[in-house]
Amino acid sequence: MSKKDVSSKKQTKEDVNLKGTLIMVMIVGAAILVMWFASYGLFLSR
Amino acid sequence: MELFKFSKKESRLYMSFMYVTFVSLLVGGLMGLLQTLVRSGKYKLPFNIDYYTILTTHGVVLGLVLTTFFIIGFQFSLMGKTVGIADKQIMWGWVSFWVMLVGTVLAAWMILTGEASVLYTFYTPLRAHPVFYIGLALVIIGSWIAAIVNFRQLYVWKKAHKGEKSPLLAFMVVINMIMWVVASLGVAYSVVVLILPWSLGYVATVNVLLTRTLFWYFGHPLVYFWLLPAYMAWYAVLPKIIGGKLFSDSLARLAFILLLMFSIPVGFHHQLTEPGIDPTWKFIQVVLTFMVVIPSLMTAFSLFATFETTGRNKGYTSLFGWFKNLPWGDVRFFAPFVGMVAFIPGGAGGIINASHQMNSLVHNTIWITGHFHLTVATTVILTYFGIAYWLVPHLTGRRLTPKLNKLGIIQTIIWTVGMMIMSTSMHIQGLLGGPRRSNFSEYAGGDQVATWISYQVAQAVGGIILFAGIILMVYIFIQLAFFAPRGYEDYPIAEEDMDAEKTPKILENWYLWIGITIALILFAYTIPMIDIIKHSPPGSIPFDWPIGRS
Repeated sequence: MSKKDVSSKKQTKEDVNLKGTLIMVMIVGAAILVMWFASYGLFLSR
Repeated sequence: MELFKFSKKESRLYMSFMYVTFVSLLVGGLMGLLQTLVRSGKYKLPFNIDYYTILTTHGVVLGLVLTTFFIIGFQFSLMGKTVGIADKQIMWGWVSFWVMLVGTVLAAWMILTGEASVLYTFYTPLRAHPVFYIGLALVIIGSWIAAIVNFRQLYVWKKAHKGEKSPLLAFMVVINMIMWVVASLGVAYSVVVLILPWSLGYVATVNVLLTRTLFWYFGHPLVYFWLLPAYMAWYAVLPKIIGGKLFSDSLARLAFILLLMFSIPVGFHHQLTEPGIDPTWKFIQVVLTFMVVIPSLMTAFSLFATFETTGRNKGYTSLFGWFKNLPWGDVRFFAPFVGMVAFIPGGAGGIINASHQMNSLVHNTIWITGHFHLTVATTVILTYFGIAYWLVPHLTGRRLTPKLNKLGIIQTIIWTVGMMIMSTSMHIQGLLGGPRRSNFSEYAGGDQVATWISYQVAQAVGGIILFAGIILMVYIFIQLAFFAPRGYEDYPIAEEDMDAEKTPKILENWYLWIGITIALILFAYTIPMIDIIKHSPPGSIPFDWPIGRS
C-alpha cells in the first residue's frame, strides 16, 4: 500500500464516499441478471 | 473498563447448544459424504444400510437439528448480552434445551433404525413410525419455549428502559423468533393434528396436498430462520471485528421487518409444479417471494457500505483501498465474508427457482440441492463457524490463538474448494436433468444418464474435501471448548456512530409489523387453503413399504 493511499482524515456524514459500494452492488446486480438470463435462454431453447 | 463476561450459569446453557451443534455437524456431515460416495457409483453402503436412511439423517440432522440448536444457543447469548437473562429464564432455557434434545434423540432413533426414511420433508403418504413425528413435535415445542423466554427477556428490558429503543440484536432475535413461531404453527398443526393420528392408525386417510402445503408454509421461512442469525452477525458483529461502526440501525431494522413480512406468505414457490393449487395464487406468492429481493439487496448495500466507510475512516482513499485492507487474516471476518460471496450465486439461483417457468427447468433436479448447499451449507454455515470462533472461547474462558485462527482460515478455504466442486457440479447436472433425492442408478442405460455420472463423481470429490473440512472444524471446536489457553475472547458487538440519525419509533411498532405479516399470510393462504380442503381428491391411506417398513 502506498503512502498516498492512506490519509488520516475521518469522513463526516456529509462527505461520505461510497463509490466503491456503488460499483460492488452493481457487480452483484449484474451477476444476478447474467445468471437469470442465462437460465431463461436455456429455458427458451428447450 | 471491566471486560464483559457471562456468568458460569449462562455460559453453560449457551455452550450446551453448541455441543449438540458440532456433534450434529460430524454425524450429518458423515452421512453427506456417504451419499456422495454412493451416488458416484463406486461405493456400496455396508451392512445393508439403506440409502434413504442416510439421506434422511443428513437432512434432518443438518437442516433441522444443527441449525435450530446453533440458532437458539447463539440467540440466547445475544439476548443475555444485550438485555440480560434472569435465573428463572435460564431455567426455562434449560427446559427448552432438554425438550429439543429429547425430541432429537427420538427422531434420530427412528431414522437410524430405518423406521423413518421419509426425508426431512416427511411428505405423506409415506408413513414413518409415530415416534418420529412425536420427536419432531418436541423439537418445535422446545424451540417455542426458547422463543417465549426471548420475548420475555425483551419485555422485561423494555419495562426497565421506558422510551428507549431496544438493542438492535435483541430486536433482531425477537423478529426471528416471531417468524419462527408463526411459521412453525403450520407444521406443528400438520404433524400433531393430521399426520400423527394417521400414523397411529386412528384416522384412515390424510389430505396429502394439505400436509405438503402446511410443510412449505413452514419450509420457506425455515430458510430465513437459518439465514437471519447470519444477517445478525453481518449487520451487528462484523463491523466491530473490522474496527468500524454500525452503518445504519434503521436500515438493519427495516430489512428484518421486511424479511418477517415476506418470508412466510411465499411457500407456494416450492410447489409450483403441484397440481391442485390455483395458478393465480401461485403467481401471487411468487410476486411476494420477489419482494424478499429488496431486504436482501439492502443487506448487500449495507455491508459494502460498512466495509467502505470503515476503510475510508482508517484513511484508505483509493477506490478499492478499503477492500484490499479488510482483515483477511482474521477468520472471524474471513469465514462470514466467504459466506456472503457465496450468497451472490445462491441468491441468484433462488430467483431462478422462484421464477415459475424456469422452475420447470430445475424442479426436483439436483440443481436445487446445489442451490441450498450454497445458501445454507456455505453462506449460513460459514457464518455460524465465523461466530463460533469467538463465541465458543468467550463462553469457555479461552482464546482463539493465532494457530487456531490460521486453522480456521485453512478450514474456510477447504470448505470453499469442496463446495465449489460439489455445488457447481450439482447445478450443471441439474440443468442436464439429473434428479435429486435419488439413489445411484443408471436408469437402464439411457443416453441422458450417461452425461450425469461424471458430475456425480465430481460431487463425491467435493464431498470428500468437505468432510475433511468438517473434521478440521470439529477439531477446532474441541480445542476452543477444552484445550485452548485460558484467557479472554471478546464478544464483539458494533456500536452506533455518535452522530447517527435517530431510529424512527415506528420501526419498533410490533402491533403494526406483526399485523401486516398476519394480514399478508391470510391474504396469500386463505382462499387456496379453502380450495385445498374443499376440493382435494380423497385422502390417502398410509404407505409403509416404499421406505422399507413392513
